[in-house]
Amino acid sequence: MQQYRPNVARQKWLYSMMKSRALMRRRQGKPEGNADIAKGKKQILDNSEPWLPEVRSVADALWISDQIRKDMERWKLPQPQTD
Amino acid sequence: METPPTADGLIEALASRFKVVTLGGVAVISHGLNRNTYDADIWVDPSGTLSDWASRVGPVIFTYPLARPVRIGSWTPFAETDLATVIRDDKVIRVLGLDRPLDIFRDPNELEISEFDDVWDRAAALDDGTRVPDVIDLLVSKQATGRDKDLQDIAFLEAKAEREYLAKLPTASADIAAAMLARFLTPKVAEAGLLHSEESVRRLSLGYLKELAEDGDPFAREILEK
Repeated sequence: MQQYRPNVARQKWLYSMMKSRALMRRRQGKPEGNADIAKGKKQILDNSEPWLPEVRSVADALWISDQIRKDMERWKLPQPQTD
Repeated sequence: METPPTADGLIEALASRFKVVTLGGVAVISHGLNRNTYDADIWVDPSGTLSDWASRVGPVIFTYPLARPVRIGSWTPFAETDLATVIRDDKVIRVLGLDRPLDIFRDPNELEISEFDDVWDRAAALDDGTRVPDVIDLLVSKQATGRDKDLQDIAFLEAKAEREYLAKLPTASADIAAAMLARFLTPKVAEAGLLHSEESVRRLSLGYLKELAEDGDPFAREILEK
């Protein structure tokens, strides 16, 4: 059985980005983590839900893809590379 | 008015006769990532010889209305009698003529033909008879493609797998924890293993964390330095 591990080059890139964000926040006088949590402020709940609560068929998945493509065309957004 | 033939219609026709696992964008969207996909990718049960496979699968594809199978890359049509040769050489065929392209794999990247039954058993069943691979099998299928366009999928799937592991690993038995760690490993997952109640899991996790650090993972190094 294969063991999945994250790509090391990508991990280094993510680590570098994390350290850069922390440096910027220190320079701005902010805590490294979430400033609102540090102040004890209540967080807004995550409202990013999938388009359908549960994909039940290939047709459902393709419907989601089609709606995203149509919206991108309507807003003249560049189409990302897709498979 | 009659519904025009579609890629998902052909997938359903195949799934009514064979085990069909979705791959690529369709599978990633099924796991909850909102993105679009230009085509649909499926893995049809590869058991048996090449000619057995072609003689079973070929009639369903070639008799589906408007379906036009072509070779990947050259986009040249081929005859049903050549399906075994084409699938041996290319590992995949593309079906045009429907509402979107459909890629049908027998031997996909990074997943072995011999692994199909295990992937099928771990996969989630959909209402149309197809199955969606579990998050780790899907990650393995994208692990070494080297394509920038897969990075968003990989980030989404890694985060999802890591969340599931961090929720399950702390209370898993020693055997289950070891089996979990044998399939998926990140520095955070190994760090969670260090807090497990079983000594064997803590030892295993520490060993994995050291391996990750030796491979150059900076997150693993930082955890070990703490």
